[in-house]
Amino acid sequence: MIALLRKEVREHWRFMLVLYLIGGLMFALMWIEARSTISPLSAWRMLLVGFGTPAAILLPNRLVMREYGINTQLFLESLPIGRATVLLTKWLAGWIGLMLFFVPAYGAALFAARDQVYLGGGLVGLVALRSVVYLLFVYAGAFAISLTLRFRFVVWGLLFLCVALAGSHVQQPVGQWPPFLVAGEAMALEAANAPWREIAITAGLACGLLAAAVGLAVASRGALVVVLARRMSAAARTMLAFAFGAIAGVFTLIDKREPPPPFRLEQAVSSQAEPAVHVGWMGEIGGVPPERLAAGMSQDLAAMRDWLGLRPLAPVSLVPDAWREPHEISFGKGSPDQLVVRAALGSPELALPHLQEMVRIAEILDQSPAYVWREDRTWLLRGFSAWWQAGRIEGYAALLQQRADFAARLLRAHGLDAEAALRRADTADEVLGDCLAGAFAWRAVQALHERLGPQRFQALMRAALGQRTSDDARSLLKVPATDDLLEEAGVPLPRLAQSLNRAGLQLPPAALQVKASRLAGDMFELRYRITGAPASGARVRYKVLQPGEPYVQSEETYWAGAGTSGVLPATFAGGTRVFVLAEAYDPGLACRYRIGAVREALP
Amino acid sequence: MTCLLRLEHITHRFGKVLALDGLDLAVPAGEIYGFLGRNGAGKTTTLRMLMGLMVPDAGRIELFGEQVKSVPVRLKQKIGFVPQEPHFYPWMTARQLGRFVGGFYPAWDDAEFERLLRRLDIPTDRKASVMSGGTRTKLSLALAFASRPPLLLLDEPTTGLDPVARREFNDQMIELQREQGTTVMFSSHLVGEVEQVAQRVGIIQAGSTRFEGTIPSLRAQVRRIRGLDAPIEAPGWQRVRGDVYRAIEADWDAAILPPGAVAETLGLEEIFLAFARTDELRDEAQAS
Repeated sequence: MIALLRKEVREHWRFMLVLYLIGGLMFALMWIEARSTISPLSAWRMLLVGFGTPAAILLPNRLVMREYGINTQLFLESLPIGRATVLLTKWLAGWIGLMLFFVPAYGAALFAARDQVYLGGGLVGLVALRSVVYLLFVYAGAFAISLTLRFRFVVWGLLFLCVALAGSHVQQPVGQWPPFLVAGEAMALEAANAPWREIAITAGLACGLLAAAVGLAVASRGALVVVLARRMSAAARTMLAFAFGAIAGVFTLIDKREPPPPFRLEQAVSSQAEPAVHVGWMGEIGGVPPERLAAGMSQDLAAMRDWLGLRPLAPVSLVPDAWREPHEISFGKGSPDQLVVRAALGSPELALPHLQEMVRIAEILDQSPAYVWREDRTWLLRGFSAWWQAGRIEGYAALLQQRADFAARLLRAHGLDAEAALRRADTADEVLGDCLAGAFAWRAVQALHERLGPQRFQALMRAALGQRTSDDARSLLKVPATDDLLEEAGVPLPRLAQSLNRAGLQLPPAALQVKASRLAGDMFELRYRITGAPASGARVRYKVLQPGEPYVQSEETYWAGAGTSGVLPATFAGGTRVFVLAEAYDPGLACRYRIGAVREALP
Repeated sequence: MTCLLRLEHITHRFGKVLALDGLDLAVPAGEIYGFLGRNGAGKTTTLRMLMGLMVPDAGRIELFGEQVKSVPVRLKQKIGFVPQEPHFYPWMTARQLGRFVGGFYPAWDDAEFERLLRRLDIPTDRKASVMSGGTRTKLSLALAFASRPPLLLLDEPTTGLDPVARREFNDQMIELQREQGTTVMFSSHLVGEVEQVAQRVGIIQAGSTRFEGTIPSLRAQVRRIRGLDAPIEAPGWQRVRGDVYRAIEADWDAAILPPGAVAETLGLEEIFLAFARTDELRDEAQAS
């Protein structure tokens, strides 16, 4: 066996070297990629799936084909060595070849991740076990298939076909099948539960495939493999070509993409008038029956369309989403040319004005996609929607005024003046939260309305938010800056902002403090404390910031606690930047606001 | 007579095809045994069985005095094998092949292998992929002899070689056999070659042995009778084909042939053709 192993090494070392170099390069790239993922160990998982899978397929294929493809197995058969030994040696040579790369790579991954992940014996052992079982499964399967020699491509084709068919017909997604789950994304997560059942099934499958390989190799004392290795006759080649054609044809059928069916809410309450508003909730929403809400929103949207001079508006579907917080409202596109707004429609805490404002914003953005990336236009869009709302609900303007006042106090606490808050909408959102940021924008738009008067204000809003109607083609490509529009309207942004600034503002009643404490070595923990008057319903959330991550979405943050002080439930390496926010609900403002938002850079 | 190898009533089928049909043969120690037969007669199947690559459906194999069902690796270590077409690793040189093959034989002799390479004029630094067919066959012979096997099996080794190369190969094989005293079983369908090399022959036809013995005894037993009016039908006389008959030497000496009939001795090739070409006999059997 030693002589055989030596022969395998001499025969395949160049191939292995190339494989190792590719693997090393991929490992480096995946390590860089993993810096923006939840755990640096995900680089290992990506290497395992992205490189380990093809390597575990290519290696046995080469080991077997180089022997049987050029009939050198006939030479081996003339030597005093059993076929089973030949097979076992090949199997071991390939497996050792794989391990020679993956064992050091795993060591390197653990060494590199030692400062960022708590490497307990359980985690290290479990990741190693899952990796070995997964590689063993792929390797044993590929080895068995490679022993079908000239039929191996047919077997691979059939295998992929079966997986594709099963994937589209069985209830469990392919990613949840035991072998794929074993190497799933959760592998890199410290707290993930070990999928012992899936590991056992995959290991069992690997053993079965190994037995199949042995059976195939020694069947008829090895004669079967010799027969399989023979060159094909012209008839067999023709048959094979037809088989491939058939497989490809079946794949084409599977891959035939039909346009998705139009988005339609079953049993939705719909408005009669245009634009259509469909409400997917039978109960009251914010105290309003769905029929009335749909009709009212449709009427309201039609009025806004006429006022801003927009094209016909897209139908809107309001979809209930019980998993959301009441203040988390999102929107997106549905097929064909529809808007889908998701919100916690059944929640008694859902603010109906906020929902209506978001629908309005969705409709305007739908016709003006350029605004999505114009940060300087954000306050105008939000402020307009709130201003429109305030004109239709009695007392809403007063509530917005209160919120805007409180927002100004928070901005002052963060050292931001009104101009900076308007220009840097993302920053204002971060320190105020959606609700107060909307109110602050409303105040700016309200000030614009007061200064410009109804007609000039409408002209400005049409120019800023409406459809581009100029005959000049450049206007289709270039969206004018908000600064320029305000300048043209006679209210430059600095002057407008100056009118918003208030002297003698009190600081907010509570504030968030975050302090880093060094643990062992380069590791830190973060302690938080809410100072000042206790806020009702306060909660703290956090997120590790990645390089080049300018804005933090609320839903991307992790829960840290609901007390006034505590420690974030994670440890952080030196140099990490962590975003921590504290929110509370103010019944007087009917609004969830940010007590504080801190970006902490660890030394 | 001590036999290193003995096969008795060996039968083997490939599906519906009966490849070996009660084959019997015995190879005496220290001799060169010519295994003659047409293509498809069952020679390679017999040799593959002796190499442990196949197991007979029925029958008995006795190797080195040991009865086995199939040939185990420990006995295979005592057998050298020269195939019809050596499938060496194309990237290996003769020396590398020697090192590789030597790892499987406990009695491998490196010095002997080097000597054989020089003697058979085999280049040591040339890869197998660029060697000529004759050189590859000689290398195969060197690899087989370097393990100093008690038994050497050759499966039509000279097929594809030109007459000069064939003659050289056979001469060297005979010399080496004499040097080492190896027992050789040599399969071929070339009668002249077997006549040149072998001391004893076995003729196989359709999976069964038609004759086994020394070449002189074969020539003494199988003769042609010219001028016969009617076939001879007598105990101890076997009509092989046409006017070729087989009987023991004493019967031939004591035989009183009909007037005008004359017995002639035959060359090995004519005898082989008489055994191998059974078409006429089959036609006669069908007619009767």
